Amino acid sequence: MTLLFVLAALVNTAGLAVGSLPRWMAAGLDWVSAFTAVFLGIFIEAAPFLLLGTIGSGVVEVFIQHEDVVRWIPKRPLLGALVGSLIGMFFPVCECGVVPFTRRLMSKGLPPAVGVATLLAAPVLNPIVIASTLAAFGPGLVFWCRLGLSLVVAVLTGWLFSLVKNPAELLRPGVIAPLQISIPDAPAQRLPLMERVRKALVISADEFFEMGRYLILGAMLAAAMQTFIHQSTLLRVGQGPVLSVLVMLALAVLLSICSTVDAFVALSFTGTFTIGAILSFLVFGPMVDIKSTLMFLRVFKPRAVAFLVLLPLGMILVATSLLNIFGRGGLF
Amino acid sequence: MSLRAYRTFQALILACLGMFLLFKVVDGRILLYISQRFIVIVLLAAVGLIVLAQLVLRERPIQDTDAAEAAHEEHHHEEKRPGWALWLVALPLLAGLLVPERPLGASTLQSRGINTSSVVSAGGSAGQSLATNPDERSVLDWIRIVSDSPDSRAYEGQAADVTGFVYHDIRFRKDQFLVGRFAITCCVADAVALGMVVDWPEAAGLPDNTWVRVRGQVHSYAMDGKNLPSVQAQAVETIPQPEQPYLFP
Repeated sequence: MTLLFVLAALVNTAGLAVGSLPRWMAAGLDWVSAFTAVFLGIFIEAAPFLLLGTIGSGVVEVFIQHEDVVRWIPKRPLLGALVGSLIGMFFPVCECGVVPFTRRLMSKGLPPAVGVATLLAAPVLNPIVIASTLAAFGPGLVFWCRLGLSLVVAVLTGWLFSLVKNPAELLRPGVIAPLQISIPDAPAQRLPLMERVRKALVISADEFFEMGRYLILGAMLAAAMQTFIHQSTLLRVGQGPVLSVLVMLALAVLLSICSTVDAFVALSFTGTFTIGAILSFLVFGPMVDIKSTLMFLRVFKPRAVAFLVLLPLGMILVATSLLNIFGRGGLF
Repeated sequence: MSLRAYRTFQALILACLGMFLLFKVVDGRILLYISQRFIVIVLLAAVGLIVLAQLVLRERPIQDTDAAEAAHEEHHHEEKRPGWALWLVALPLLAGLLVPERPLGASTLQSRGINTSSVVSAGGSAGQSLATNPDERSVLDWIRIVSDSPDSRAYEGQAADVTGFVYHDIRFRKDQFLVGRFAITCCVADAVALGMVVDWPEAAGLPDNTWVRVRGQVHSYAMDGKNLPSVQAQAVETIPQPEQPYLFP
């Protein structure tokens, strides 16, 4: 890949016309510029939202006390997961920003099971995404089902995670401990406000680098898959009630689009796909895609990440397929 | 890597990323990557990155801190700042600076296929497109109009004047080519190829990816149960790649 970048750079600086290159070189160059365009497209679109998430994380670190988190979150698992799912309503984050943000909350005492619910639900259940979905689809079936199904899946998954006896085992060792040292001498609260804001922003810069590299790896992976896997083949496959859902689930992972805007992309598939398939794209995409899965691995142990991906996948597949099969009657 | 060096590089990369985005927005080339509706957000992020760079730069420890304290810091931070992570974050910058900016073209169209139905349903309406002057309509407008209008008299025979890149499909006749455009909803990752089939005797002489301006009469044909527009060309001229190669539905 580096080699191809260098080749591209040479062509760029030497001002060679693409037409004058040997055939294989021109093809390689086509490949590189398509790959780069998609890679940078995903990165440029997601970076502002990642930045927002890491700033949120910095603010949590500096301004929120451990005791506050423990006090706000109900002890009952199901209720805790419900509250966790709704955190996004107050801190709008997309699926990139939610990972550093939630990790910080967990280091402040948020139970991992509640954190799981936040990770899954917050990218959809927040004002920005609700507004963009409303703008794209209007207040109809798709809109309400997206919100409802996201909430149900997040709460159920969070609740299932709460059944784990020792929740700390879910997390990567060190997720909680090393974060504390960002502020060596304890009570940041005593510092003047400007000083606290400065600390919050430096933390967010650190986290931008830490999470940013997974965003970049994910964006590159997604761009490579887009360059090699022919989307047209995928689209030709799926029309049945279950198959169409599977295709759109694959597409959600493949495209790796930010949850704040995926509604507009989904809208462009409404002519081609079943309503259940569109819904599965809108619910699963924000929860799991290539870049967010890579970021999950920063926070949870691989086994926990596997469940974090597979549980929502199973639930959404079943729910949206059923919608397709039984919804055909009177509903639409 | 010492904390000081790490902070320096961090600030450098943040500042360069910010400046990169800023320049792209200023000269309009940001639209080769994302849709216009994101420009403001990207601009804010660019400013934010530059501010962060400034803060991180001031955060650098002075070289000769107490050695014991430095070692202590070192130990704790080790896992948080591997050098490779820095360079990985600089990768978008390198890619953006080194690789020539070329919009998606014929080869991508070949791999993604043409998907006219999707853009038709996304935003905008045939009514809107019909309201524009026929010779100002884009490929996208024509597709919307032809696939949505029940009455072919609304468009049949009207004069089209569209631009796009040339694409030859194996299914086409020798005297046909596709005048194609990519439509982008959010970023290049969701680009969808559109096009109108053009009847033009000298089609074979036009290489793929050449940008052309096509003038002629619009007709429609049915494919997979949908009506799609085609152009009976009167004039096809080669043009330089337009400033804005993508369409934003």
